[in-house]
Amino acid sequence: MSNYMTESDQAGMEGGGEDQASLIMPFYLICDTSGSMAAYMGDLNKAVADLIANVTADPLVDGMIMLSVISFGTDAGVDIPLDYASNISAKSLTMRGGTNYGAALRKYREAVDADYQRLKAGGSRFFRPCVFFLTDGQPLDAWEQAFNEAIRYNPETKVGNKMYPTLVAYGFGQADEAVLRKLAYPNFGPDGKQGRAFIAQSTDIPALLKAITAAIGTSVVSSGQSASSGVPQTVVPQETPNAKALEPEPDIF
Amino acid sequence: MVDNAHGVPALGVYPRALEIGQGDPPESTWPVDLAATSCCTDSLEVRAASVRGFMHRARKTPRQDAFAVQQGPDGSLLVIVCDGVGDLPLSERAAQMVCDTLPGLYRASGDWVEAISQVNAMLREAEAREQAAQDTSERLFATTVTACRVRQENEGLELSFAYVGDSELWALTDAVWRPLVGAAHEDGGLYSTSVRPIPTTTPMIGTGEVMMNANAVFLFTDGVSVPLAMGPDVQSALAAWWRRPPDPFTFASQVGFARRGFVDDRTAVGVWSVARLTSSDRPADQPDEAPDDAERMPPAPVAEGEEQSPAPGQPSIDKPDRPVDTPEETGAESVISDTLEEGN
Repeated sequence: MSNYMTESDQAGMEGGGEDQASLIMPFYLICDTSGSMAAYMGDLNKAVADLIANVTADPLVDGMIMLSVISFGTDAGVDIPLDYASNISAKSLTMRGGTNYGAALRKYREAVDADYQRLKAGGSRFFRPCVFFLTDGQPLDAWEQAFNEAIRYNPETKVGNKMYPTLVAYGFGQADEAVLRKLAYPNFGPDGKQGRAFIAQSTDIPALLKAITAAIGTSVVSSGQSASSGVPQTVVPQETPNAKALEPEPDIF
Repeated sequence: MVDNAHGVPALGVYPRALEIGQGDPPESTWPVDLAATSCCTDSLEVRAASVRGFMHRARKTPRQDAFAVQQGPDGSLLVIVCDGVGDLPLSERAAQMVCDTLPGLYRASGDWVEAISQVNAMLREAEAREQAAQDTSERLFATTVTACRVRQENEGLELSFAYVGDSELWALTDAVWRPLVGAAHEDGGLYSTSVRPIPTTTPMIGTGEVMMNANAVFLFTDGVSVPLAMGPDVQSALAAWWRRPPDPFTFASQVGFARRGFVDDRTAVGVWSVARLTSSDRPADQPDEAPDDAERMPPAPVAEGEEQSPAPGQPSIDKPDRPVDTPEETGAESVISDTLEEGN
């Protein structure tokens, strides 16, 4: 077993650096950490850690995608900044009180804009972001305005967020099916590229969290693997165990 | 320290693709994981290689790139590079069919647009037959095409090229990379890989003719051109590696370099101007009196007003302010004519 690399090759490797320009598929996991999730925070933290480990386990996908985790309640914060999975150390998410979807969506937009600028400055380029939104409750705020400002884009008038994400919403506990359908985005374009929502059919929250993050992991890994086609793209989950799939709401507001 | 027991040169930060190695033995005898060739004329030296990407190896899907190098009219060479569209199941066939037929069609007509239009029609018929055989209406294959006729003239390399989709044509002059045909890959600020390949009802065929005093021109699939365009260290390494034509085995190995996040198939065909391979370029360990090489590669005078080479170790890319996606933006030294045409 010999090492092929020449001295000049190794010099080339030293010239790269961690900020080496790359093509990045960014995934944001937005987690409801409101008071009603208190009993399940251990399960949620474990599920997020497993997700990170699953992505890290695939050496090719790990080089294609980046993950970030945002927690929200009354307010929202970036608990895990966007990075390659193998660079992330799993941590406990922050408990945040109420259930304000608007805070979560605004924090996402703030984070993705900053991530885009940071990585673009290093020469990297972004694929369309993908957001997985996990919630166990109904929104307590007037979140629609935040959704319009942070997410929406009108493909006919070209007004809005050109870098709108693919948003996949997961609801359990007290989450509302109609609201989840409004979160699923985009609600236009070909079927495979539209957002999606899922509503739990079970009250076993720990098992659901495990299943949901496993489905997300499959989506993330499949998205990274789509690079083999030369056409990397977000592979939206089509099903999740113990959850009913919902189509996006055609007329959101 | 990179554990690189698989014989893969690596560029940049540790590419975890090295953990995949060369992948499992293939399930089919065609296409082979690595195709390579080399040839020469009195005035041109050619190296070509197509390497199955790490992701294809890991997922047990075949290499879908293809290339062809053939004799063209009046002492020219014809070079074809194709990138099969990976989300269709039989795209490797489309890529190979184009490489098998396009040179002959071009020799017959001397017109890239006509030749590519004929290939497009052949592909449409072949896909329809395969759809009938499989009793399906689903798309089965598609491919990009970049084709170039290269001829050495007194003024430099004369290129006549055509393209459909996002495979690319670059020039290397001393240590400066210059994209002649490139893809924008841009959609609202986001990276996009959408292409308009053939077969299709109305292929969009870009064409151009250029005379340039380059050391070499390269046809790439995006597996090479994207990391090249994005990585200064990749530009530096490839400029150093390909300052002169390496031996064909080394060239093939280099085309398959590992790079974090770039795991698609790789294809590169390099055509070097023998006149530009001066004796001063020859490595110190190769004496000037090496008879075969010296006879076939006479020192060439440096053109008046020619750019100075960058300092050693300082290769650079001479790229336009925005990505090149039409012939009008090539930035080539003298564009004789160019157009973007709808094929028949």
